[in-house]
Amino acid sequence: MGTIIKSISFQNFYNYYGSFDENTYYFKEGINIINADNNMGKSKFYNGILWILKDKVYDSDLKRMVSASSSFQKMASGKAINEKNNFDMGVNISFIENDNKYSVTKIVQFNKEGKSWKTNEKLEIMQTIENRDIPVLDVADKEKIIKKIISPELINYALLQGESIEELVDLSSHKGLSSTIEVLAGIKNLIEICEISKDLSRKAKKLSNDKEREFNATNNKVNELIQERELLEDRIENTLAQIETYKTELSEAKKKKETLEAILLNAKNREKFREIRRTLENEINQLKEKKNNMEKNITFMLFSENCPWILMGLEDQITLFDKRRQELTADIATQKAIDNPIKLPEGSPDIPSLQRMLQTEKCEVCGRPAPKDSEFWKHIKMVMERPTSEKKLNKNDFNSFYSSIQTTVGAFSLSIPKIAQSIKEYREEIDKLEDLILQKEEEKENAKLEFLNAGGSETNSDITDKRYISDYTLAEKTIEKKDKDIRKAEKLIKNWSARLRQIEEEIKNISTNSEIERYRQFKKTMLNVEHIFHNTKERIFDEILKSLEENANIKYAELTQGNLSLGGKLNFSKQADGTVQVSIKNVNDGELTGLGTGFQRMKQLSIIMAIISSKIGNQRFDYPFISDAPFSEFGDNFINNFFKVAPNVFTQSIILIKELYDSTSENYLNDLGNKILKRMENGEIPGTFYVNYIEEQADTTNLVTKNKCYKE
Amino acid sequence: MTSEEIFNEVLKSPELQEIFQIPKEDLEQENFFTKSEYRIIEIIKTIISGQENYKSKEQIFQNIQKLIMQL
Amino acid sequence: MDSSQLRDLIGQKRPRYKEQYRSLIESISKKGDASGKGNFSSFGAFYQTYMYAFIIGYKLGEQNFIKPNEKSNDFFVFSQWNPTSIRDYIVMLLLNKSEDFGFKWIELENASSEAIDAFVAEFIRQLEGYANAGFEYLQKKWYYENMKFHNPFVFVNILEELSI
Repeated sequence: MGTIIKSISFQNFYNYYGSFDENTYYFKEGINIINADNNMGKSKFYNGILWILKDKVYDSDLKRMVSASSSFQKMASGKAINEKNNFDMGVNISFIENDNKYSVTKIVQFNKEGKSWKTNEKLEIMQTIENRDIPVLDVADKEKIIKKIISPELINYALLQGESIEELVDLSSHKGLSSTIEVLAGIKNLIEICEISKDLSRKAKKLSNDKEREFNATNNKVNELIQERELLEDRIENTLAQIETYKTELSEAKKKKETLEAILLNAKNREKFREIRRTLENEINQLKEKKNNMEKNITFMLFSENCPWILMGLEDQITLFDKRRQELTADIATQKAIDNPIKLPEGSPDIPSLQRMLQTEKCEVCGRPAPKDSEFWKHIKMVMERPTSEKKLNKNDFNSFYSSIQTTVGAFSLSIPKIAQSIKEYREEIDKLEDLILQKEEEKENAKLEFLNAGGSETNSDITDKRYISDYTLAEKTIEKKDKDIRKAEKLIKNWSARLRQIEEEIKNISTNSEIERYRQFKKTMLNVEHIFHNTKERIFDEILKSLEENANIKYAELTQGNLSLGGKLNFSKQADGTVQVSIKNVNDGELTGLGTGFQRMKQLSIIMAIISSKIGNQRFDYPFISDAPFSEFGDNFINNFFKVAPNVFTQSIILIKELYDSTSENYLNDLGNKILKRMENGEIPGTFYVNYIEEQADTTNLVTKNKCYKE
Repeated sequence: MTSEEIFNEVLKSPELQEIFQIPKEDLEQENFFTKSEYRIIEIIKTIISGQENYKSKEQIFQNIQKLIMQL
Repeated sequence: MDSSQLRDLIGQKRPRYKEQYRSLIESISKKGDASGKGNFSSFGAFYQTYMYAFIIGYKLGEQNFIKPNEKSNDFFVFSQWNPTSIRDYIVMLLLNKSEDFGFKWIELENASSEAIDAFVAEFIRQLEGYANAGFEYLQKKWYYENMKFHNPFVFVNILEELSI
């Protein structure tokens, strides 16, 4: 029947302030989604489960697992700590296993003493029998019940941690995939049989050798050979043990290398995004400075000599001024005419003519006589003697004043009409800069997220990354050395074994009888039995491995369907050291390298799903699959695929996800979130859907997470 | 795996045919619960059921010796 | 009198502003160059502020003369105002209106030096009238719409509003 978690509740646990009743999530079979943004209690939810199952929590400051007891104060709700003098913090998981109902609660009582807190941890387990809750008191029984939630052998496959952990769940160490396969196949007893058989074989050998020695007690030659044989057998046994040690060391080095590979990949990514952020920062600063300068420059533009914005709309004044000047000129001319009374009739004679008229004493214009010294004669004389320049009748002459002004402002007649356009263009340029700055800020923010996703934090530095590189090189060297050591040892064993066979022949030739022969036969038979059992175990193991590989690839294909980049194929291979390596190969069976962490996680997930959905023997994975944010590297495509595949694989899964979150939307769901909710509401996807949110508060130090249930 | 399942898997070992010369048809007839003609098969059964019944290694060894000595 | 004498007469004058606008002027001006930006956009030098206020008053068509009992302060000497082209433009604007405040150009040509003095005095008074009207307008905006002054384009916007 398996285990189904019915509910998970929190009491004053991290963001989950308040009683258990106020912070309960009810779950069903199918996919149970908790949609929460960063800081909304997603990883804390997961920590609650870790606490119950493993007595550990993930410390996001230290970026590693720590024991829960060392972390109680961090785990307690900040609001409770600030507001109360005593309170309880706790997590409860209620579940059903094979028709039995259980409730597991871990509680820590907090009591304030002066400025510090005294804590007391309690584990309370209830079993519901015929509708009555019976407390479970025996410590061993309590342990057993907790293990019913998820079997400890499979716990690594049932819990999938969030994105900031660099170490991928190791599947290739001795304790990894191989032992998991052994568990799933239920070949534990076969393994024991192999051990027994090995021991029996040894016993038979000893018996046979003892008999031989006994029989040949007096035969020196045989004794020598027997002694040499014993020596060689000892050496072989020791060397075999030595090889096991080498294999363990080899496997550890390989594990280290794979871990570091992931870290290094992330280290490179971190460096990449660090650099991108730096560059963007510089660009943004330059743009801001440019914009700043442009803004400061506006007053300059108002008064610029080329196109002064301050004069907008005033262009007709120049024309007016010009008109005024012309009017002035006309007025001056008119004035002169008025002020100059001497008017000669039209066609007045010139000076030589006037001189003649004086001499002839006759006006040639009107014909009248003009005797000398008469009025008329004096008049003619005066006209002749009038000054050549006109009498200055103006007191002032401001013409050049006006003229200089006109010269100064003249150019503006062309530039003033251009002012509106100039302003428009200037505004547009500043707007463009603003847009560019916003765009770059967004890019910088994205780079920061990528940086954080690659495990970046302020404490990651070049030095740490350099250390990783040297550790990696060391791991590679170790692998090489251990490989060599193993081969050398195996060669020695081969040689010794050959010599042993020689010795056997010699002993046989020198001395034999039917009884001794029987013991020798016995020895041989038991050795063969040992090999038979061993080979049977290997054969079963290989069959399971193959079926697992097939299954994992089916899941892998389903999960990666629709992704633009091809993810290759999963390849499971048993290594010489007994571990199982899962690599991703491309179409031509070449190793597919350079795949991002996204595909690495999909590989993980596929293996897990394959293991879980394999029916090996009578075993079936009937435990909840609990995952915290596995989706950060994938797009909507993968998320959709996952929700298609998961219900067929896991009877129950609890998925903590942020990719469906949109803080600006009314129901906190983005498009994809709403689509999935719809599919849940019309029954396509069985399960529940919760959304965590934080009520708007002025004080952000005591954030309290609340949840909304969209689908029960 | 149950003891019977283990036994049936072991019967598939090529060594039984190659080293112990048991014909394939005979192997197909073998059953965990009925006694076999072949000593090697009985030895194998002894070990398998010995493990199932939590017998000590010495005990199993003695049982096997008895088997061998009987034949 | 000739052109350069008239120019000097005008140039020597120090147009005044009302005391009540002093803090406004200080707020929106920055002595020296148009560098150093505080929270607000600012003019580079005080005479730019004065010229700007003049244009505002001129566009509004309003004048706010300094009454005899009102406290006022002298500004910089007119001949030193910069840029000279803008300054001369302002001179032109006032000259265009000279008839409105009682002086025809042709009369100026014939005027006595006392009359010219009177003209220059009135010229400056008109200048002050428009400028202080502009200061009054800016003062109201400063009190009631202060947020606008955080926008670097505030002075352009104010002009545009009045240019429609």
